[in-house]
Amino acid sequence: MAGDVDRLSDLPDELLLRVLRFVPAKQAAATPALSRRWRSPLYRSSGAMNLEMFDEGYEYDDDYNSRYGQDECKEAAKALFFSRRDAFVSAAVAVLDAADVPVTRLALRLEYSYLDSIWMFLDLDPDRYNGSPARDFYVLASLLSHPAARRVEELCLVDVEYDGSRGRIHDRQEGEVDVALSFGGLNLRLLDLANCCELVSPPPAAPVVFPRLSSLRMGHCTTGLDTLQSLIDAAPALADVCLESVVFAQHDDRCRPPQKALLRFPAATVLVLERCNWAQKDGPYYKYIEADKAAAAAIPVEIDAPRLRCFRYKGLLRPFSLSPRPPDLGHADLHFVPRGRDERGNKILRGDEFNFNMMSLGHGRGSKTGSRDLEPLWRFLGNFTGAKELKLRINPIEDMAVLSEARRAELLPAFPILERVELHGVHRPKGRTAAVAIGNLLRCCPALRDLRINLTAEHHYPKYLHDQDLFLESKFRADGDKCIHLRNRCRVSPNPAAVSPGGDDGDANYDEVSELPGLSQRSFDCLRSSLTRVGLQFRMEEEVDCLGVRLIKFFAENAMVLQEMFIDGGNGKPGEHITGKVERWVADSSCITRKPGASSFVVLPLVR
Amino acid sequence: MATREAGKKMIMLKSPDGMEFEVEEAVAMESQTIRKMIEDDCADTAILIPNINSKILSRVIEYCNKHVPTTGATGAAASDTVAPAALAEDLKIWDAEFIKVNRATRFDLIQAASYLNIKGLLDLTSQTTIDTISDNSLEEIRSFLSTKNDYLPEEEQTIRRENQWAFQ
Repeated sequence: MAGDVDRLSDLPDELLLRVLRFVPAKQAAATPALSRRWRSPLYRSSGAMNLEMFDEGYEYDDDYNSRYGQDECKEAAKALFFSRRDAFVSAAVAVLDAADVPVTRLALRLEYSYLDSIWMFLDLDPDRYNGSPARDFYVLASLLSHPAARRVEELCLVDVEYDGSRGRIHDRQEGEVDVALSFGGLNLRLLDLANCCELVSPPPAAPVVFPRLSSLRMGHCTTGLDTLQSLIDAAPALADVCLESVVFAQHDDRCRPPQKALLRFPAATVLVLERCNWAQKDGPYYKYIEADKAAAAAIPVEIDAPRLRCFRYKGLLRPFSLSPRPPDLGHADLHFVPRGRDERGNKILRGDEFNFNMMSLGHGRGSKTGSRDLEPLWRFLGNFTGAKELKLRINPIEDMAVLSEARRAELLPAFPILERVELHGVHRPKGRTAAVAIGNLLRCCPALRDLRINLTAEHHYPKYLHDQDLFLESKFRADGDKCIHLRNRCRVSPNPAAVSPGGDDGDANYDEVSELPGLSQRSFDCLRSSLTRVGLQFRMEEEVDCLGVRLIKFFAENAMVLQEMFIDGGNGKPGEHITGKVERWVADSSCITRKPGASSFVVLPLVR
Repeated sequence: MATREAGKKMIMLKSPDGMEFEVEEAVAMESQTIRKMIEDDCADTAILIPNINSKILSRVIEYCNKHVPTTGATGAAASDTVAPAALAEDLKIWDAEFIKVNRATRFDLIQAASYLNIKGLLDLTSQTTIDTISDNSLEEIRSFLSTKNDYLPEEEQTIRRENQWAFQ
């Protein structure tokens, strides 16, 4: 235990204070009682305030209920809540009063059960609470207008008790107001909002409110599109925007959802849109079945972010455009979450991808869905023709296979400078269509240098959905069995042609590995001149002739300038057995025939 | 395995125990201290990093490598890991793994992050440190900070009254 003692008190005071910035305000306020060294309260000098409010609600016992009735109970709960909130505010103001140095970081972590959204906590004037709360933004205003808080650079607002009642926007009463972000934020650099519903930002006519704001993070928030836009417009230096599980809701339910959602990020270089949903019809929070397929289509999104360098998207495949094309956009990471269908073929507008996949895989996914999604998919990808790196996750991979040459000529964009591609996806067992998809990708990327493919066979996938842990456990057990099984089989009937000198664990019969028609009969520029690294991650099948092994054979035979091949065949220890095997296959010219003039390459285990 | 892009300027960092680390300039400039040296043209050859041993320095470089905000297919691509760009969620997960170290290492990382002035690393190490004490009683904070209570009982009562809010 002696070695595990923190030597924090050895730190110079200045650094110790820097570390202690993250102590919650309550503990920080308690530190003067520690010892004389700590006599001056921590928060006076650390420049950070981390305020937490916890309101565990109010439990009435039956006795109380019977005596006073429901209305009185509500009144009591309300009174209790407001007294706690007032105590919180006055404590916070006291902390600010005492600060010797300007506070630069202010974090509010709120946990309460009486009110159901953060704006009520922040705005509500108790005297006027009768269904039409006031617009005085009481709490934030009292904190941020404090002289010691004028230099706040980082503001974090976390609503801890997010109870999942996300459809609340439907229940809004007219006249309700939102959290105002119209406080002065002259020095604000980072704004981090988590679980905040119903935001309003400065009025559109307001001058630049956040001149230095460079980073905006919103997680599980609900906001209007216009609202977010006016917030962005008020922050001309906003470079880094991360919107995760943000629901863009209509303020007025009677309106039709917009034909197109447009967002402008004039200064953004990094943009993350993850599981965001435009308007109600997009889901995932609205669980209804939409019969009208036209109306069910995902809202088209247009992003105007001319300085974008890095973009990440996770969500439904939708009509999407980056307009104008950002010239410096070098990196794109796209993860398409499939829509599901129920047994009757109706779309289910639930964005829960796991449920989706379970349904779509369980009931056999027709190729019809794939072909219908082809055009939006490749048009989506067409926005990133200036990228150097592309990471793509798509389930199933077949969804991106363009089968006919005419359609290929029509749909496939060219990525002239794309150098690195990472493709993750689930494929059907035979892998023929998936191979076409991979071929399509190779065709689009004449300058590809580094390709990594991570494959999951369809029949392995549903296990994962049921229980991730169970899956991982069984995966490793099954893989161990498989190795032994392969060895045993080879010992029983060794194929003399395939056993290489010195190979003591035998080999699978590599002659069994078939060609991939979608790939082998074509030629791709990148294979001739640029592709030097290939990484393949898959799960070795009982049947040696699986897509992963076929791809190994394909790249080994056809990539002329290949230098390194990284392989992970899904064994407990990544790549241990498979790499040895592949090396032997490559050495044995009866298995793999390198084309004349092809470079030699090494086979390495893929490090995850 | 690392294939260096042509035109990337490299910087040599030396730890006091004699190890040398060649890193991309952009990675080294994650450290405001090194950035300043480079910008002041004090970094022609190797930069000696005093007080930070090679074990800690290599971890700091690992952190900077991950957090460097380049978006091209640069050094990070050679590491065969996921995309190098500053994507918040990935980084958060990566950070959480990175900081799973013992207290002594964390302490060294705090000092290194402070000396090299790497805000993100300092925030990460600090937050992790604080998370280990957050819910504890005053007594535990006291032992955490290796502080002895040198108040007289009545003094302590007075102080507790002054900061009553904190002791409710």
